[in-house]
Amino acid sequence: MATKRTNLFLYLTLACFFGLVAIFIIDGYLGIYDTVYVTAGEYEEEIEPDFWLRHDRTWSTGVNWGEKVFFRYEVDNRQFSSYTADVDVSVWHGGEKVGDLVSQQVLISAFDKGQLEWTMDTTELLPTQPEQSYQYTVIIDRGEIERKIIVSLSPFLYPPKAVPVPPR
Amino acid sequence: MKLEFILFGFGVLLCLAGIGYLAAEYVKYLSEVGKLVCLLLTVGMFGFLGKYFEGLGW
Repeated sequence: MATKRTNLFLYLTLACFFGLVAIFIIDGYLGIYDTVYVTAGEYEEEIEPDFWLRHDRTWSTGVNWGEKVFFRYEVDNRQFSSYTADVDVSVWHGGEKVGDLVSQQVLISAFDKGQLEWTMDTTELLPTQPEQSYQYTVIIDRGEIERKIIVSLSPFLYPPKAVPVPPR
Repeated sequence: MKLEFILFGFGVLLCLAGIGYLAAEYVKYLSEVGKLVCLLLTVGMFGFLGKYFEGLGW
């Protein structure tokens, strides 16, 4: 009887252990996870999936006027079924929509990744060089999910000058 | 008997290492309910393991 009771505790321990593993796999691993790669200037910034889980965070980056910002949006479908969603990317300023960057439907098979790329040209947002900094919000809508990235557009204060060749 | 203890300890350490790895990688993606259930299961696991060793006379 004592042996049976002792073994019962062992089985309960094992049940708790496998329950933990199952929770981590089902709740932690399975699902839809998106990663955004932003290249402004020469740096590529990676916005990991868990960034958006922390209290509605907004990512910020900066770029000089005249340059382009390259975006790569990767959706990781860790489910046993395929995933379909409409992805709409738009630019906003002061609560008003400035323009659309991408509007596309993604279809990702089970345990596969889908990718979208687009470019934001600062000269299209502001045709002439500004005298002050401006902020624009890039909003990525994927179904009910919304991601916001603030892009600070700075005036290019020191344009490159041709260096005169010294006489020989 | 010694070999049995060593293998038992080795197995427990490996299991804990596996749980630790899963926790380090995926705990940030868990929901609030998932985190609470994990906490309860962890407490239960160590509690029942302690009772098991107590039953063995350790």
